[in-house]
Amino acid sequence: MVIVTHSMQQAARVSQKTAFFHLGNLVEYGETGQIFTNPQDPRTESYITGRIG
Amino acid sequence: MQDQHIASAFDRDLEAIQAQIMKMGGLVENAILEAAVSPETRDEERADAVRRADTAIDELEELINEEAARVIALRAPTAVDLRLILTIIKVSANLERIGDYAKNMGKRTSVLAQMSPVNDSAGALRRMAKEVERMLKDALDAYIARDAELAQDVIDRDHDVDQMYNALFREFLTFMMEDPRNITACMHLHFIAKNIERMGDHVTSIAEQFIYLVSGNMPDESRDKEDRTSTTNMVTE
Repeated sequence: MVIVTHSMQQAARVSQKTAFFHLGNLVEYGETGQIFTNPQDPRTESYITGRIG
Repeated sequence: MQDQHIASAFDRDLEAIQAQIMKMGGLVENAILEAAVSPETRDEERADAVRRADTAIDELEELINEEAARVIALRAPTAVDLRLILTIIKVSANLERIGDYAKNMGKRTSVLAQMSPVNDSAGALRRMAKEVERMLKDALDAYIARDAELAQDVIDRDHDVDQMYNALFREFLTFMMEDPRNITACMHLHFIAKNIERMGDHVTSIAEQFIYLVSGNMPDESRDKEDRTSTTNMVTE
């Protein structure tokens, strides 16, 4: 099942894997735990830490 | 990655808590130096000042932990922000322990000042503490510059401190065997040396935390233990 959301809390809570899309393009995909603790792409990091909306 | 959060209050919280860690680091650096100078100069007043100064360090640790808890509760930090908060909580605990060791050195110095001097180890203790203080300074500089290489250098230098401790351990043992009247003073001097060695371990742990903050991974735990005094019979060797 795929859930699309802007709520970081919800994404972290319900998923095994997380993909971050920006302007329709896939930026980063990985284990949810890894995406939320140590994302590899600076755009992912900026988004999940609340630096870009 | 962008530097600033959309919620600028989050940035202010993080800046404030980092400023407190730097302030605490400065106080602890000073405590190490002062605690190490007083056995050499047999300056009781200076040793007392180190003991009193520890209160400020303890209070800062409490303040930092309260702030960190508030940031977690209100801001739900993730990724680099989460690593920063976790790092700050651990580093403040390490700094507080180093402050306690300095305080303990102050107490022992007061006792030692009442006795006749046994050997010239105070200079070696001061040099050992000076090296630990330099390691702490470099670790904090590495943190400000987000310089993982400098942090790794600090970790590597802990070997030297361990070796200095081994040498002092043998020296004190020899003095105690030569003349049992030296035992009381040498025991205190040995604990001072051990305190400085433990300070080095805490500085190493701080540097490891900073590498984790920058890279997201803890450095490899493949370091050889250089302090062999707990596993070797130094008398028969």
